[in-house]
Amino acid sequence: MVGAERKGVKHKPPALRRLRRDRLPGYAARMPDLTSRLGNLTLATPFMAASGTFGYGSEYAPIVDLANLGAVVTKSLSVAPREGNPTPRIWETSAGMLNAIGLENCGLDVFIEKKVPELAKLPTKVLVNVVGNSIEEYAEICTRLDPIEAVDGFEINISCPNVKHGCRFASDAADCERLFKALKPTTKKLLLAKLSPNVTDVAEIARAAVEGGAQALSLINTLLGMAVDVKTRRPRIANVTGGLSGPAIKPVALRCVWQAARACPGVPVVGIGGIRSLEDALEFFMVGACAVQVGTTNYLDPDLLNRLPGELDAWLKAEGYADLKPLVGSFKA
Amino acid sequence: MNYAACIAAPKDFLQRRAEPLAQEAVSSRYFLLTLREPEIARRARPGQFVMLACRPDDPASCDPLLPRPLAVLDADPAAGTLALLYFQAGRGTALLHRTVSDALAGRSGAALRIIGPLGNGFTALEKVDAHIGVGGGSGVAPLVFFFRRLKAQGERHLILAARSAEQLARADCVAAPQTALHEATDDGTRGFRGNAVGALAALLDGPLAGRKPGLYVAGPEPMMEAAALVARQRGLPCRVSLEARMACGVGVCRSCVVEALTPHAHSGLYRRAICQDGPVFDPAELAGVWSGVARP
Repeated sequence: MVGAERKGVKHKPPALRRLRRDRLPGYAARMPDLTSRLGNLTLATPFMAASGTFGYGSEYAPIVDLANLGAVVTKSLSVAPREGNPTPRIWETSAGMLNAIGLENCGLDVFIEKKVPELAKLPTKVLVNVVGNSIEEYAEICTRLDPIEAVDGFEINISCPNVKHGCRFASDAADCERLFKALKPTTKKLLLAKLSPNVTDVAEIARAAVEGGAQALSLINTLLGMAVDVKTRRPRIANVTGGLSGPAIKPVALRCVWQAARACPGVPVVGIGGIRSLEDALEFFMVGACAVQVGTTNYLDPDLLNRLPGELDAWLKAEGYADLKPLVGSFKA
Repeated sequence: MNYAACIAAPKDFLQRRAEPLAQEAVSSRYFLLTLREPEIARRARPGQFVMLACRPDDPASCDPLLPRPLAVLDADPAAGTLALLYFQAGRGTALLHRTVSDALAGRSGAALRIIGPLGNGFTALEKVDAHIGVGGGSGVAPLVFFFRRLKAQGERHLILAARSAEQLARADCVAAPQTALHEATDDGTRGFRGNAVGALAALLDGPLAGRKPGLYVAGPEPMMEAAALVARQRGLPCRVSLEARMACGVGVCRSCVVEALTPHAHSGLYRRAICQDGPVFDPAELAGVWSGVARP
């Protein structure tokens, strides 16, 4: 009711409002609106599964209600198949983990043949995470997947720290802008730029991606790190360095999201990094994210994705909000 | 020979909170943990594993972060209980021991987050006249469960190895019907003096000379590699249950991969996820040390 008043319908007689609500199936108007707008996409909820932590969606279908999700972001896709890095590929750290998987994936041809039919069955939006060694490779994937209905958009991964040249487009603003300028004509679908925290000024890269044509931003990818086995004096993971994820990186992620959101007013931002609870997600919404991705937490608590929409719904009701708008960016420095 | 209860389980796993019922030290390194979880107990097959949180479920406590993959020792669908025999190996399993002790003493929340059953279990090898399990470390649990549920014909031998007698799990915890238990210790303090593969060779050259047994191997990687080599040299069918650091347990994180000799039917890649495609493999289908063949 308070939410309705805030939306400026205070003047309507109470009886009329009740009547109109009753006409809606499931009394929908009484429920806060959890949808979130990302470019040309409307997400059912602002909660997404992050790339590399959720396979192609169906792997977690036995225990996660995918209809609860705003979108699933697939494992990174490259034009050619990639076998990935040697093992060991992960190491657990304090409140986090290092990984250097090396973008293991089936490649574009097998993706279209084997994965797309599975993705088409998912009861949620599908964003394909795209990696490439060159602008041409990124463009080839967007061009070939653009006509495929099961694909709702692209998360352009310019920030994988575990491959050679993985960060060129993430750390050089001119390169970043050039990449998105080249991708824009290849697709009408959502272009989401996934940014790296391993840069001096994330705001500069965010602006470059948007100027190039990205309709939305997602951040952060992992932080570059390493761990040493003091007995052998050797690295804990075969690739020597890896990407740090998990609750340990949340403060860095919040700072980056806040900076990117301030740098690009009006551009939807997706917050990623160490989300372990609704409270963590609320922090991201408050600093400017209109949606969030849950990543590493899927490994230890895949049920979080089931709980978040209900918990957010209850929180919005308690605050008297009808939707996410009064929450997003409500942080006061 | 093959039998229904041992066929690879469908990939329908569950996410639950399991209440610890008992925890007992059954050697200086092994703990027998009993959990109440009827649905997972009903579905679990020998060789499958669960991902078990090693601390109470609390968003504020994030260290160690990841659950631990633990093989199932036994499942009692009637009682709704799941038995895990875990080998205390590091920080996570040490914390698991403390967490369960606290829970049983009523000092903390009782339920542990559990995902399972995961992976494809052991199936009985065909065209063999005996079954030999070779286990050590955390590989003991899946083998004991396998021999307890095995219905196939043929003599059964289970070789369990450790550094010394006090590390070997108590015999009643690893007993299986009609299965001869052969213990081996590096220092000779109990059973065969030597490692698991030495005990295997003694068995193959002694009581089982001239026979064609199938081998089921689970334990530390050097032991499994050596046992796979014995199987290859003697032309015996063999299955190994591989272990690796895992984050997810369901095939998405791609941490626990091993190289195979043929492309995967779905991905076209030579990588196999131990959690999803295994953990049980025919070593002849894997590349490198497992089969002595380099990937094409």
